[in-house]
Amino acid sequence: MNALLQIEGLEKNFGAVAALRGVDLAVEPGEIFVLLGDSGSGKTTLLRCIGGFEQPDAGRVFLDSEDLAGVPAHRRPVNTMFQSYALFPHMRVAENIGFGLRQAGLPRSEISARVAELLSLVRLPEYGARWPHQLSGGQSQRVALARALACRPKLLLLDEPLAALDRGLRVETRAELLSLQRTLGLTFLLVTHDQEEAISMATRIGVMRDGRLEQVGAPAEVYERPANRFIAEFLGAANILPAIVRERGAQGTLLRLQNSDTRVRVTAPGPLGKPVLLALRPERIFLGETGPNVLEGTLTGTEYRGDALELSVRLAEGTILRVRHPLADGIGGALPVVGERVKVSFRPDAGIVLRD
Amino acid sequence: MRALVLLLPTIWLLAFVLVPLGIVLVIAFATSTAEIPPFALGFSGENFRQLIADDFYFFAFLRSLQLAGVSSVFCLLIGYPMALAIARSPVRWRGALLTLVILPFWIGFLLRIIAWIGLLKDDGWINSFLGALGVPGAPFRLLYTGFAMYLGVAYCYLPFMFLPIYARLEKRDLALEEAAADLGASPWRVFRAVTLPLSLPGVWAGFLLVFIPALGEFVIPELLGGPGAETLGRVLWTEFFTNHDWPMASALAIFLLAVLLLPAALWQWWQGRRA
Repeated sequence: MNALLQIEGLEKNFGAVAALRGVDLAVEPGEIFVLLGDSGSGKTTLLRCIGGFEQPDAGRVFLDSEDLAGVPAHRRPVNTMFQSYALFPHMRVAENIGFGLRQAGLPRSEISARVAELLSLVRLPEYGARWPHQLSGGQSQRVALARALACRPKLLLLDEPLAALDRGLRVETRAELLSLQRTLGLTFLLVTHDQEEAISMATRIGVMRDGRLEQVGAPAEVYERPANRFIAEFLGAANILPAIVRERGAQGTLLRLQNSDTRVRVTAPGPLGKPVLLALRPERIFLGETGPNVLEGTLTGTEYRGDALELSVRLAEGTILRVRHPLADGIGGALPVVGERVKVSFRPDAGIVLRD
Repeated sequence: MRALVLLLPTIWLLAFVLVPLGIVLVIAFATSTAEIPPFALGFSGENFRQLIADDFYFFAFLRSLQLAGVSSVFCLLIGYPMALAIARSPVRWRGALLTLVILPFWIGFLLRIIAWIGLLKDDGWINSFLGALGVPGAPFRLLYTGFAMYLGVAYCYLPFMFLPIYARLEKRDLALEEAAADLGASPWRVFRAVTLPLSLPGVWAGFLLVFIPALGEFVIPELLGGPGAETLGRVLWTEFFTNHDWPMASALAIFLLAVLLLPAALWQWWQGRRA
């Protein structure tokens, strides 16, 4: 048990509502573990159980092999960056950042030196004397980060750290957060509902749903091999086509799409004779007959996106297929028109086979 | 339309605040006579001179200050923990608990003070109970003492302290307290560093709401206090109703108003400067 954070069978109920239903999780030192889920999936409750703000009904939380059961929030060697930032409005920026150090009983001179260091770390060296209400959103976010880092926590919990920022600022701050994490060798446990944020920041993602951790893995792993339909649709977009496995062998799996005679071959394995779901990412489907797997349908919508063409194609059995045809080589002739019969194709390794 | 909306409060302020104040001010500078009405208009500063020269009034003012100060502190010591406890209680209980705090106010003010007389008097409920227990020294002198007076004022004005503090605590940001705990502050430190400082505006509001009316309070010292408890409110009453010295009573009223307005104005100025 070498993980920095080890969680075993964590359960939490709020009245009749189960927020956590047996969560197991291990976070390694130096990683950015992202808990991804919708609101109500239990991700924030999990974070609050680690921070000590909620007491789990069952299960254990270990930090550096120390059982945190019964340890109050103020004695836990973790710090939280709150979604609302929770800056103390009656304290100046420097007092906010130094708050944790004051609680730890550090001498005054050491606190002010450390605060100055943190202020320059988050690129706000001149802001120590400001009040929180004088800061912009991005500045507040950085002060909150500096305050949470002041006590050098073993693990930093971040609750939707970028949610309150504008889109442009979010991308910039994301990069800053990553470089800070790398330079200081920190361990992050980050909660978000934004799949793009999760994919771009995480060392590993844990997808949560209804109080359970549905899948844990590296972003590419979770995106390429989602464990079920929910994850396939939650992480990126996916077309879901019900199918039956007709053959399985060295060349992969042969599927027959339901309510249709179309057969497609994919490399992913599937249970012979059983109904499955074929998940196809829009960006892995191309306009035209370029691969072995061809689907035919009627074009019901086109959207020109500059870098790609987004198409909706209604297949014979009625399913609407979303296609994101890349325009890396330009348009190459006339754009297809709504109502036209079109053929789209995908490579065998693009097909994801799901049981449910 | 805007003017129409403002008309009513303007008339109200003129008719019931400014005009009576003007009348009091005029009488304060008049001279006392034995006629009806018992004053002759003029511009004499004699009343104010006497107010300053006769230390009877000065001591009455000190007694009022003491009464208002001690009672306000009592109210704070009882009201703050009460407000904090209710603000921290589960939401579904809060309505009922608040009702309990306000409930005594559904009974007439005088009736409640008279009930205290029944409780505090030498053969009252408290002394009978202590006597039955065999407590040595019982019955104790409780009624017509400073203690009874402070108790009465604190009891009657408690909601004015409680409500502004509660309003402040009830809408406090829990994330701030959690953030403080997260950064290593023990529950007591969280209270000292975050909860208390952020509730201070409520404390000041409550303090003013208790202190100001308590300073001019007449009924409670009259009914519960000893004969020596000549507070400014009682002196004013005596000047007006017993001595029929309207000008002196008016001068006292003006003096009290000035004493109260000064800190309020300072407070306003300080608040304005901070914002």
